[in-house]
Amino acid sequence: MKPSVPRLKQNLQRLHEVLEQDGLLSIPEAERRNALAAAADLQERLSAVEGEYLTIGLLGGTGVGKSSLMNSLAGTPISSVSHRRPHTDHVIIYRHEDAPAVPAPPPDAMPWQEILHRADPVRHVLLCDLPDFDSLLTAHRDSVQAFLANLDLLVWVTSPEKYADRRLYEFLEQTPKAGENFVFVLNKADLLFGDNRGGEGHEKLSTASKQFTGHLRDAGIPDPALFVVSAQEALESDTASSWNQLPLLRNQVFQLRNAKQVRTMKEENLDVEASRLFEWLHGETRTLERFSSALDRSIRLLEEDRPTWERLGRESLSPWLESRAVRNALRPARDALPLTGPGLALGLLFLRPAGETGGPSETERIWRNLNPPDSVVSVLKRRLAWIEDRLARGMLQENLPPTLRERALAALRQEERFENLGERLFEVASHRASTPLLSRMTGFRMLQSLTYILLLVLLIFALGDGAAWRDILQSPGWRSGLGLLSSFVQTLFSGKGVAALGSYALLNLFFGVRFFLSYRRRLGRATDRAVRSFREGMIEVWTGELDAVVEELTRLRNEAQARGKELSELAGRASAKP
Amino acid sequence: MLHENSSEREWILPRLPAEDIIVPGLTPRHNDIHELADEIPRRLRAFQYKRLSSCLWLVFLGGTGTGKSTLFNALCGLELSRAGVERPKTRGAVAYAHTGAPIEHGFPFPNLPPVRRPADTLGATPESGEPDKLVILDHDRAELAHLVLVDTPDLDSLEQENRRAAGILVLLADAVVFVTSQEKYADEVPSDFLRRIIEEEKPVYFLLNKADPDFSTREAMDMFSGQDIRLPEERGWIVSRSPAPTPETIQGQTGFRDFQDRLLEDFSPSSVQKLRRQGLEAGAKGLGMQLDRLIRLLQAEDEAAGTWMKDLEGLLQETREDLIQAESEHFAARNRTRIQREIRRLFSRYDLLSRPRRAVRNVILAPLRLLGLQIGKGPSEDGPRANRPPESLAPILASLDRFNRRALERLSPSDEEAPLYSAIRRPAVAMTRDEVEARVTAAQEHLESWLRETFQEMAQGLPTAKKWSIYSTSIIWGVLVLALEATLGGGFTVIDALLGSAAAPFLTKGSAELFAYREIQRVVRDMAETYRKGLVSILEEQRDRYASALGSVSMPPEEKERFTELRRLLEQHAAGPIPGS
Repeated sequence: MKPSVPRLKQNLQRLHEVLEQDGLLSIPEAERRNALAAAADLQERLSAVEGEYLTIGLLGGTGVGKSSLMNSLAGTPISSVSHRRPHTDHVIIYRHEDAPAVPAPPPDAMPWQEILHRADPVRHVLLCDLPDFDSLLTAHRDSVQAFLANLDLLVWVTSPEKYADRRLYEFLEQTPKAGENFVFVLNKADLLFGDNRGGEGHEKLSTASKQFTGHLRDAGIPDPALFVVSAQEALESDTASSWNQLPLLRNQVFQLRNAKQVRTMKEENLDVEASRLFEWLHGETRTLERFSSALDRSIRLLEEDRPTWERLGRESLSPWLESRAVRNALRPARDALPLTGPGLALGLLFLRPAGETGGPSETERIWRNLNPPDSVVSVLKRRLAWIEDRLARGMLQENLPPTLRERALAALRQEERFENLGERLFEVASHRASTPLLSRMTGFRMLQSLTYILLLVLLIFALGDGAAWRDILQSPGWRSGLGLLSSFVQTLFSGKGVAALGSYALLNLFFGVRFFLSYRRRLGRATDRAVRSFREGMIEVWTGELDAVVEELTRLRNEAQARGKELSELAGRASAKP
Repeated sequence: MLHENSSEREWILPRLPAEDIIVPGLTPRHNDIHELADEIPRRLRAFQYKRLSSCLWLVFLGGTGTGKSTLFNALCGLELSRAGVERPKTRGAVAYAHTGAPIEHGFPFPNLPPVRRPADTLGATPESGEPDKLVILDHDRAELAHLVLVDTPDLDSLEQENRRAAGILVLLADAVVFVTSQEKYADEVPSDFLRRIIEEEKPVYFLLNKADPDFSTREAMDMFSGQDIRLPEERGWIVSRSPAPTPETIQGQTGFRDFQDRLLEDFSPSSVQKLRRQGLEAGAKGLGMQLDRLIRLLQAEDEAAGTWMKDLEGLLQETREDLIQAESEHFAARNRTRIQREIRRLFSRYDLLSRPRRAVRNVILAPLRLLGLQIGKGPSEDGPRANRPPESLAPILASLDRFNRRALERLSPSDEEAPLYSAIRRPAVAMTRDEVEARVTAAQEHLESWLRETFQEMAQGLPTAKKWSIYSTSIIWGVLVLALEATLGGGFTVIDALLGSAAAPFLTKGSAELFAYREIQRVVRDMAETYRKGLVSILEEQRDRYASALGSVSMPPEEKERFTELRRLLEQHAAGPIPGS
């Protein structure tokens, strides 16, 4: 299968973008950076693919004869045959003197040692002898894997004794390379023949290679390129046995490939490597789906709670708003009472605004009395804290990764809400309290003045003697005036005068009380209205909190959904075969 | 217990420890527990079997393609086990035993049943074994009657079954013949196996097969000792590579002959009892070591579980205080109104004025109603407030969510594979809203009935003098209130004062609070306590659910006790006689 390089490039670019932007991801920051680096590295390698030199790696267990195979492939002994000690901590690279220098392997790859040679048949390839993967020192296994990134063609070498080792298949599975670029070699085939090179050996050989092919097929390599060789035999004698496929292997491995072929091989490998990188997208998509459905559930719960949310606000705000303290705070100041005469006296006596004795300013008075007390605010804050607890619990139970959990909790912006809640409730109250409860009540004032004047006039009439009044009306002059005055004095000190004064005082009191009561009723109604409006305003603020939380969570859910869709599309594109 | 007379099988263990050991997984090494729990019963069965079996078992072990079967055949002197280039070749274990050897009797591994092949087919076609079976090839050679020779499938096989069978059969071995080849001696998997066998102090005969002429055992031994595997050099032999090995050609090699001589000398019929004793001692020791380790690990889990429970309790305390704090904010007001309602109901029975007031009210209201005037009624007292809104569930639900959140944050094992990790996340663990509601309703009903009973008791217990004083205060208060209303109302609201029910609560409440103050205080305190208990019991139930989640992934202590018991029995036995000797 020839990979579509432009599309691979495009997908990698997309993945790079996805990883780079500060979007939702379940993986922690460090992991994200690693994946980003891997994507960037792949992109770079993909665009730097050149079809000149092929890098060939020889992989195999201990004692399968890699070195002799290397030598017999090269035609001259470039490698020292050492079958005793497995080399485990470095890679040996055989390079022709004329070939360009080895490109730098990834930083976490195994260190390597370069050996120059002059074997012309293999001048156009770099041969890498990798450590034995089944050797006892296993600490280097990962660094061997990292080194594999450099290789274009992998030659898996095994022997009739080792071809069923589990290690081989484990390692094969972990290797991120295209199966097309694997070559399998069953070395030391001469052991099957022993001394007699007869038919029994051929039978054994075909059994072994059939078996080996079967194992490879089970390991996911449907059509393995298998060569049965004996490097030893080829090195020792010039005439190879008929079964020895070394020339074929040599041909397959070292055939002069044109640049395009080499490039295709490299690209195939990169394609497989990239598909491993894309694999995590599937898991990520599922996680994001779970995340958004968890958010969905939270939002639904919040919506279901809306009525109780509002009622809680009402229930906890009402007792405070209806308290005497708040009502008193709303009463007009002393000089703003629209009462006169005896009514004013009663008003001053019974309608004194609270705390006025200390003489704080109007704003201070409002501040002190209209600021919601801590007990009220803390009930509401508790309700807010519950949202967070419920969300966190749900996500923990759902086993969502910490990154997403933190993200969801951050979206609630709980701290901010906590700090501002009391303040914003107070803002509503203080804003509404700045308009006076009642209008100037000019008519009411005039009515009072008129009443009291009328009462005074009546008193004056009552105090004057009937004859004196007639005199002054008929012949107004200083005499008659004096006569009226004297009749005032006379009446004042008579029983009639006392009765008149008494009546006057009673009537004044009567009207004063009436005016006072009437004003108090109006004031009460106005206060009720104000309190209602405060409450509604505060409830609005309170339900606004719920709306804001729902909005934030909805936004996050939408983001998660969009992100999940984006990632699953990318995953789908990456896994789709051309 | 060791009872000399009872059946020999009985002494060691009445019942095997639970094979499906379950632990919460609070310690980092909890996975080892399962491994041990899997291995110990197997070992134990093997041990019991070995006690009663009079044969010595020699088991060939090695990696794939090392030539185990070839050497096995050579030792037996016959082409018994099929050798060849197919890998893995030996598909199942093959044993070579005397016809009379009672191998099947009480064979400890039901998933590896022994199958006997008739003696007459011997040698006709080499046996490659059957998967999941132990094929026994009979012989009647007296000199080998005391031995069971076993060829096992490869240790590093692709086939998991093969690895398992090899692992099982090594448990029965009195000695291991470890076969490796020049190509394979550095391989990791067989080496690990070898290390374990040596640690258990089983005698090992080391055969390096397919060696080049210049290869020496020294080299291989050095390599192994570099890996902390100490092999005695006198127990290592080299068998050279031969192109077409047959039992005869192999036996012709000095290395193999030396090995064979040594082996048969060590395992001569006369030494059977000594070797059996040694084998059993080693077996008991190995078993004991594993049991010790298991017991240690289980103890560590137990300790961790104890700490966990303590943390859970701490969490409960913390949340409880939180809940009380939250409740107390709603608490006071909500319950005060309820108390007041109860008091009024109680004392209105003694309210002298209630009847005349109703009469006056009706008399005066009648003409006013005729005039079409609407006289408002006072606020009804048992209005919608009596139905507790579900919002009163909020504090407890919020506390539960907080409790659950903290429990999952702080108490969850960090290892996702740990059984407790999923146990505390099961949906049934967290209480649902309905469950909470049912419990709160029950608690409230209980509270109501308690309150009613308390007040009834109080009313019955009121002395007559107190009743009379309530009557009199009612009148005094009535007069006072009327006077005050009249004064404040400037004489205009007297009717209101008379009619409005506003005065009624004053009267009864005033008098009640005046005289029953102490009792009421006590009632309120008791009531708060009852209510608190009701609420906290819900949190406690949640705590119990977590505790039972822990319980569901823990073994009962008596199960663990069984391991300790087993350990003790094993120790006793180590000093005891061997059956059949």
